[in-house]
Amino acid sequence: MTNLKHEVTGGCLVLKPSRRIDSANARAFEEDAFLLVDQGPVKVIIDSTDLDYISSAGLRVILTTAKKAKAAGGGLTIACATVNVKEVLTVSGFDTIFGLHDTIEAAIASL
Amino acid sequence: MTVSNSLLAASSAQASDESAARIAALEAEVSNLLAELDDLTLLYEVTTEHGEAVENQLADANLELQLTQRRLSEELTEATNYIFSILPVPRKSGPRTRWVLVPSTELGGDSFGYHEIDSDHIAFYLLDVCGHGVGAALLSVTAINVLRSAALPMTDFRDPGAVLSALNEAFPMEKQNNMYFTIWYGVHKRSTGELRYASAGHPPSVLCRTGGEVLTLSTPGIAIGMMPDMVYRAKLGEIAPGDRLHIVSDGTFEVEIAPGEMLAFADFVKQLSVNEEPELLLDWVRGINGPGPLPDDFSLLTIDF
Repeated sequence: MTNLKHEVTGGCLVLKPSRRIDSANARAFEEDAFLLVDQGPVKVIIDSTDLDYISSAGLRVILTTAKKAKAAGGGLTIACATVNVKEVLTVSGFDTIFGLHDTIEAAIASL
Repeated sequence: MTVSNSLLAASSAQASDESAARIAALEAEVSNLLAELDDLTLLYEVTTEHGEAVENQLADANLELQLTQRRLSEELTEATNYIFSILPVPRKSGPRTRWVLVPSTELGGDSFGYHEIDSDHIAFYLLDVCGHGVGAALLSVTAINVLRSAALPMTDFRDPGAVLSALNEAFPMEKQNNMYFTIWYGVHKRSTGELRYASAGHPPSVLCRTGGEVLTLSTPGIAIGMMPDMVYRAKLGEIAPGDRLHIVSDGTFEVEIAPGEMLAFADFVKQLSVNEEPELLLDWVRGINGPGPLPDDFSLLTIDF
């Protein structure tokens, strides 16, 4: 059982973290995300609709989740980022590496 | 002797026997109590002795802890001194540099440097290893030393894209205890005024031009060590005499202006563009953050061309 909001849509695991991923909750996010990736599917979408902020600790766990998904034969991409989150993803280069989509449908299609 | 007298004598003898028995019982009780008292006294003495021994042991352990604590904090201070010792001295001119670095804990992951590659090229760089503490500081210092001593094979240090790509090959996170770092690296060519720069997951540097124009300089690319086989490419800019370049780490602006609301980078840039001294910007950010240490290392390198 995990606290991380998630659903399976279009053969993809959609993770929907709320408010923030920072040093206070990054580890919990990682544990939950790893557990869910283990259960599958391994194509992962980070739905950022409800996310206001990602710290560097948050970027790290998105990276580790992406690596885990990739190792399992899947992948990871990001969707529906708010302005602030988009800025962090752009500065960190995550937008070009993982892709940034306006809709979940576009994210599903990219994986 | 009358009958009544003999009865009296018999009763008196009985009474005396009873008294003797009671006295004997009392005496036995007293002797028991005395024995118990002896036991208690002995127990008390043993306990006191044991207590003193425990107290001594505690005092010894406490002393040992204090010594360990002192040794560790001396070693941390020495590590901090080393990190500050490899940071370059501010340049007086051609160009002039000023900087401030405040680790959020004793040891941070930020460091920076600048050096002349040859008579025409000067390199400026600032890097930020994820996390804090001894591990982050060790990687930070190693990476800075690699840059300072140009210790990357077959790499033209005048080409920021080549430098970042080579760093990414040299420092994969899987071989660095899962640590990685962001960096901004720029090279100024004096003869032409060209500025080549590249960044890896790092906040943009801020160029304040003499005419009042404010530019943010960055290139796409993720932090060094995150992913293998990344290619970083440099961008070309121009520096005119009188321009001022600020290179920062994310700790300089990632503070909350209200609970859950972070300072916007644009507002930070605005403040930076009117800021004259690195220390004044530190004061401004501390004012926003409120009392207590900043959440992340604060590093700002200001270069006046």
